[in-house]
Amino acid sequence: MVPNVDVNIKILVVDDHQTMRQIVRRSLGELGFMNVTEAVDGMDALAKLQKDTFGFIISDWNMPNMMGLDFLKAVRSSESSKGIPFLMVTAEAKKENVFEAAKAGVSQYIVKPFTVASLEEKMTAIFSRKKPSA
Amino acid sequence: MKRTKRKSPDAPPRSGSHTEVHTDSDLFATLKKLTEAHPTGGMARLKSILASLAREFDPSSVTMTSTNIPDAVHKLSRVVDETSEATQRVLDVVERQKKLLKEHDLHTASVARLLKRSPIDPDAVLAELEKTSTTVNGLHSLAHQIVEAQEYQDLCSQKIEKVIRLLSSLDDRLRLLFEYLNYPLTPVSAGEKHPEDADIDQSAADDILKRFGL
Repeated sequence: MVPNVDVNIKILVVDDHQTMRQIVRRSLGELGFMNVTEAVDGMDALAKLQKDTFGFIISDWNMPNMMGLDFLKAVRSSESSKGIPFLMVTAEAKKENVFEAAKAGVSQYIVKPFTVASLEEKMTAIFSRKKPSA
Repeated sequence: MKRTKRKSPDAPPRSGSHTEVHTDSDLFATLKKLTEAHPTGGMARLKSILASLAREFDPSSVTMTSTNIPDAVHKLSRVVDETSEATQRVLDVVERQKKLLKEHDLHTASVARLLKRSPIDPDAVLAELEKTSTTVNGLHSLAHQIVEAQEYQDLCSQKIEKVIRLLSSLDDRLRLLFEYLNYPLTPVSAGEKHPEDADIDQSAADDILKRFGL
């Protein structure tokens, strides 16, 4: 369980691989979060953000059409979405990428493969802070 | 890759000053110079190397143990599809297992309740035990399906091994070509990366985030 988070929080999972989206959805389910919406890339996610309100975003770094970093920047540049906690997930973690993501306002960064426990740890770290990074 | 001034023993003789090449346009200029200076031997050697490289695009070069570039692209695409399908199968099975385990819990709880009654109704207990047995058999069957889903690994590793052989062969011949053109490359160990390109682990990523107060 993740303290300080309503289990009904709307979570947007962004990944171009269906299997990965399913794994993330399943991991969130293990933590009690069932209100999950999926997006296939950054463009799709931005469209969904315009139509709905989300309390948390989990996004892959490497995606076609719009990379995770560009998606993060787009989220942070919009008044309506800039405060949403944003967890970046990546298979290839490079120092420079982590720096870029941190500068762009990422809330946490998780390296694949990850476990439910590490997802829980990151979510706890994000939601235990008074304010999400912006 | 780092470029060095290492001279290949196969490189054609050069007159005048030492020629260095550092860009693609330099490379093509050097190529032109070499073939013009040595119209017979130079061109023949170059053609020979290029012909061996071109064979990697020839459909007839695909055999049981080798592949060519277009086929390698197809093979790697199949690997992506097969690994994705296998993962999907396993995830589906796990979902079905979760449902069966819930059913199993209900049946065993029911058996426990029936055994606490007095007098015990043996038929009712047996009926619940049969249901338990059915769910256990179902779980065994699903576990076997997970094992079956791993078959992709063998097929995928065969495909990947062929692509590795192709890349190794291409690497050898491209190095030969570069050396012939006096465009040698410093050997790089397999997996070696520039420190800036190296992947970092979760704790290193966390250390960076801490610097940003995250």
